[in-house]
Amino acid sequence: MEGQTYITALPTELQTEILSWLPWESHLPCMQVCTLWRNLLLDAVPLKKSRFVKAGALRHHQIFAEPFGALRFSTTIDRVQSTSLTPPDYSYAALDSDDYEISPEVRAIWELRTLQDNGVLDDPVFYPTESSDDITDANDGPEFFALEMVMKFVLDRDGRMLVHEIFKHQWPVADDDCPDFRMTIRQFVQWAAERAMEFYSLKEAAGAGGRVELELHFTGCKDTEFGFAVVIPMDGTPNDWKVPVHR
Amino acid sequence: MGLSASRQIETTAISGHLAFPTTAQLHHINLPVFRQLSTPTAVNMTNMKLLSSDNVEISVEKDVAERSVLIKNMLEDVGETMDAPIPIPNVNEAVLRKVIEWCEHHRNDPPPPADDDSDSRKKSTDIEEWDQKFMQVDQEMLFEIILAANYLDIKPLLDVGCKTVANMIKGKSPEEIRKTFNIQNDFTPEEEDQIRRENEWAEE
Repeated sequence: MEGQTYITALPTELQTEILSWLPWESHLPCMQVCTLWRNLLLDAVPLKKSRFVKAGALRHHQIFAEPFGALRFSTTIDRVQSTSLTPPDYSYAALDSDDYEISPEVRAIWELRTLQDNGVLDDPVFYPTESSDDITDANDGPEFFALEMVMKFVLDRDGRMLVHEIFKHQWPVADDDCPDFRMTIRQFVQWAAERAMEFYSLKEAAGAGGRVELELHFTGCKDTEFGFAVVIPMDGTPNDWKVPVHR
Repeated sequence: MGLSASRQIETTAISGHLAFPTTAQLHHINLPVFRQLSTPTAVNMTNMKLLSSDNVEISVEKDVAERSVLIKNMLEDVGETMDAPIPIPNVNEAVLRKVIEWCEHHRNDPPPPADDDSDSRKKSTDIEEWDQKFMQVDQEMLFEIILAANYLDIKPLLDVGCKTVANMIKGKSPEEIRKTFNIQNDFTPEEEDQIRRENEWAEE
């Protein structure tokens, strides 16, 4: 009997049942364990649903929920390069410190460093309503998309800070430019990055070899607020820079 | 007994001797059934036998065994306590005794709320002390208990089992989880490669 794997020998319903007791942040490391778990966590409805939290009339993804922490994305010219989650009381200084204490769950995720391949990013920002598999009625979605961008870091190639600004903008749902709220987290980040690039002349501001780090707070509706950070390193010359667009 | 009694009434009615049974007849007919249902504490009614998959008879009190919805429904269908042991083909003696031990300790627990909306479901993986000790078994037994609780339909025991495993998963890295449960890493070399490349990128 030595070497026998008992847990993966269980019927998949029971493995699903076990995984359903995990906090959602444990989904991330579990997805990297084996293909069966990965598929269960991505596709089994009760598991998928547990990654969303009800707030007001909406059910938004836990990845945006406080107090878990900020979601950090790094993009290159054409795609999101890496994604990671940072601790709730995250600060840039703290992350560089060895004695900074974070929970085991966050540490496990932090050690992954990259979630690029993690299917969680293909979860929608909002969970479809109870009755349907898809959001079809505008009333089911948020009233508006709003971004509060705290531009902490626009750094030139020598690491000098050039810009520190706060910017707010709302996109009413009726607006042509408003994103489709059925989009995935991956798409949402790309969209947010695009908007940020539009509103500031980031390329010009940072100059060649510079770097832009954005911290975004995203407001979905009146009683919901959740935030994440987007990190956009700028490599190459300004002329090469394009707004990262996800297909 | 209950079945034959009601059939007797029908037969009487159809044969035309008596369209409706008299009160006295009803009383007479129903009395044994009535007594049986309303006095479960009667000595000869409380014990029943279960037969494990390895053919071991285990005597158990009826209300303890009825923590299992499967057994409870079975008994209700039959309408009376069976003298013959109920076969539990999927559960061996060691596991069955363990499950009965849990049922005995939890015999007076209130029934779990019927409403099982996943939204309202408490996601707490806290486990009461007795159950924690009860679940301090090797992994094989732990998963056997989960299988048995599922088969016998003992939801609270299933929950305790699954929570125990969930607590073993929480806070671990993928590699630690694989090691804990001896799970084969079955990602393709390409997938592994990609993860490694991206990790290298992120290290910079």
